[in-house]
Amino acid sequence: MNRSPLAARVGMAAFLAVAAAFFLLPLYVMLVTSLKPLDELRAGALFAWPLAPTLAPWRTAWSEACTGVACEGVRAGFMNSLAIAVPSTLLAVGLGALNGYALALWRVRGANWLFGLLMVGAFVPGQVMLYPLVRALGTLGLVGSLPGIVLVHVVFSMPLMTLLFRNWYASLPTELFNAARIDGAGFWGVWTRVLLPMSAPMLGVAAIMQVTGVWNDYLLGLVFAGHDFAPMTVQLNNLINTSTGTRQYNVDMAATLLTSLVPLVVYFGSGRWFVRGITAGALKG
Amino acid sequence: MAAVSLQQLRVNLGGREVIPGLSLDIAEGEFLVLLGPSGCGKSTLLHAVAGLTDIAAGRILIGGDDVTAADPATRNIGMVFQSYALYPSMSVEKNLSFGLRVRRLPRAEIARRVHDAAALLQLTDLLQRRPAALSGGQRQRVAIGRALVRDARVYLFDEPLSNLDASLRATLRRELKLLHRRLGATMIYVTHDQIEAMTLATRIAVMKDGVLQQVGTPDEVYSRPANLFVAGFLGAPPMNFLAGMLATGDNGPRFVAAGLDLALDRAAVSRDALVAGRAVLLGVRPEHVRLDERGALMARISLAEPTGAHQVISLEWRGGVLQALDTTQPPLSEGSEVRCTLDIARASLFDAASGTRL
Ligand SMILES: Nc1ncnc2c1ncn2[C@@H]1O[C@H](COP(=O)(O)OP(=O)(O)O)[C@@H](O)[C@H]1O
Ligand SMILES: [Mg+2]
Repeated sequence: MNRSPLAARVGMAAFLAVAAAFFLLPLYVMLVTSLKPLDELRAGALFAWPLAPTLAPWRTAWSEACTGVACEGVRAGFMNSLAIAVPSTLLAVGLGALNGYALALWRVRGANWLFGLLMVGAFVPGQVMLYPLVRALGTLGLVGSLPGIVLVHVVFSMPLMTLLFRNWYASLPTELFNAARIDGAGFWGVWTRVLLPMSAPMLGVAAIMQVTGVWNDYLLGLVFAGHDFAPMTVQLNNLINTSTGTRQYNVDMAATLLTSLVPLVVYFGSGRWFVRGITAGALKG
Repeated sequence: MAAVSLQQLRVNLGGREVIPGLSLDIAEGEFLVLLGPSGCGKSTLLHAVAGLTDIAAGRILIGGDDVTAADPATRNIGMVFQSYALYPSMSVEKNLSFGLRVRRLPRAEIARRVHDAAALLQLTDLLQRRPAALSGGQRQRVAIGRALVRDARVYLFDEPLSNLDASLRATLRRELKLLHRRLGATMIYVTHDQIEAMTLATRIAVMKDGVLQQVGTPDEVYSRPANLFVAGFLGAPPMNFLAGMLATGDNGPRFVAAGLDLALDRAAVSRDALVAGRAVLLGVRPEHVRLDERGALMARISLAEPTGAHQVISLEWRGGVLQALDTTQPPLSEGSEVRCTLDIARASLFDAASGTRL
């Protein structure tokens, strides 16, 4: 009972430090490994700082390493992931916001049913839908194409995006919606002129979630993107599994870090935004 | 500017009948105040007039046009909300002009109307600010301005002053009254504040549980309340009620209660209603309890509540407690014994069973 606040604070700090080390240590090992030449790796000393730091593994990973037959690094995968993530994010966020808006504020016929179905969709594991989706897209001739993989990402994100935006719009004061309608704005006018401009925090959060989700996806990319549009995660896997003599751990690490760069940058660059968006629901009006 | 006619309006919300059939005619240029306690359905009624709530039955006419099924956008109304509901991402100027821009008015016309409304409501210096940078009173003026620029046929106000502090409320109340005089527009104003209702209205409609109790000028509603609810809802301190019986005396009908026997010959009641033996409530407003040395009613002042201009005194007598106004100087002190009379000519009589006015 008599623990002093100081002891509590020290304990808390120690706990946080251990927790941080737990997550940061592997990252540190990856980073130093990716900067070491191969012979230095053979010496062991996992945690040691590189004696002769080099960016060569990064260059190799980016543009020379073999990912199967081709040896062009993960660069092509990066471009593919970009080509997939940008339209997938714009479409998913836009449609999710529109869905959420319609469900939250307009008396859409059967809105509750629709919303219930979407929620069921959110909890059904994606793997269950994989085979039917492959068949469906196959009939449409979309397997292995950019529109195909984008469509799949958008469809899979709809439940969560709709839920996010429905709750966001439901948390806004209804009088705002009523005022806009009395001022003469219709379905699109209310949304685009009044509600979207005040949805920036939610749009930001949704975009971050979608970008990182799409970027980190492996399964859908593997199944639906085909060879020409294989995302970076798939290429990374190929790179690591393509054995050409000795395992180049430094290149593997560099390629892995390169692959996770976009989500990392998004998180670090938008941390404040992210928090603001999550707490914004509490600041009504 | 237009007259509004509500005919047999019925509104259900969440499976509950909030307004079970309401008819009301509002003349052109009238300032009608809808007065009632919280939750009685005032906002619901206003939303129905605006087209924001679907109605189950009935008709709504604005300026003679049947708008029952019309979209809010086409009803040409202006509305001011309790929470102001200003668009947070727009400047005051954009807030004011929003409805005009949506309706694609010519740019010069928009500028002229915004300028006029801003001048009228002293908002000219604030035009470039965002709502977040305004005080409560300023926000409410912007909300009023946003309704006014529209040149609507009828203006609806939903408790527009209830979020403001007392002095600001009084100021804006006066401004609203002057505004109505100046524009001569039809206004429907919802409030649970009887002072607002009394000071602003040309007519007051008192509402309870979705049902209109009485519609009349402030004086009618205050002086001749139609039933016990209206009598009790208007007036602060509230009307005194004395339970008793009607009787017949030598000089006409009388009101008899424990320790009290009053002649009703001067009462403003039709003689036919004064049937001996009928159980009634006598309603006397505090200002009509007269301190009078020759009065028949003897009482002790059990509590004195000074308000500055006068004091409200609680008079304890055999039959209970009466509240009265004491305007004497120096004011009477607690504990003193006084005599008083009740001004029967200005009192109200209610049937004890039904609560309606005789
Ligand atoms: N969406 C709704 N669903 C069900 N009941 C509602 C809804 N909105 C309001 N009510 C009920 O209708 C009644 C009238 O509400 P309202 O018109 O807002 O009252 P007022 O404005 O007079 O305070 C209240 O009892 C309230 O609980
Ligand atoms: Mg209300």
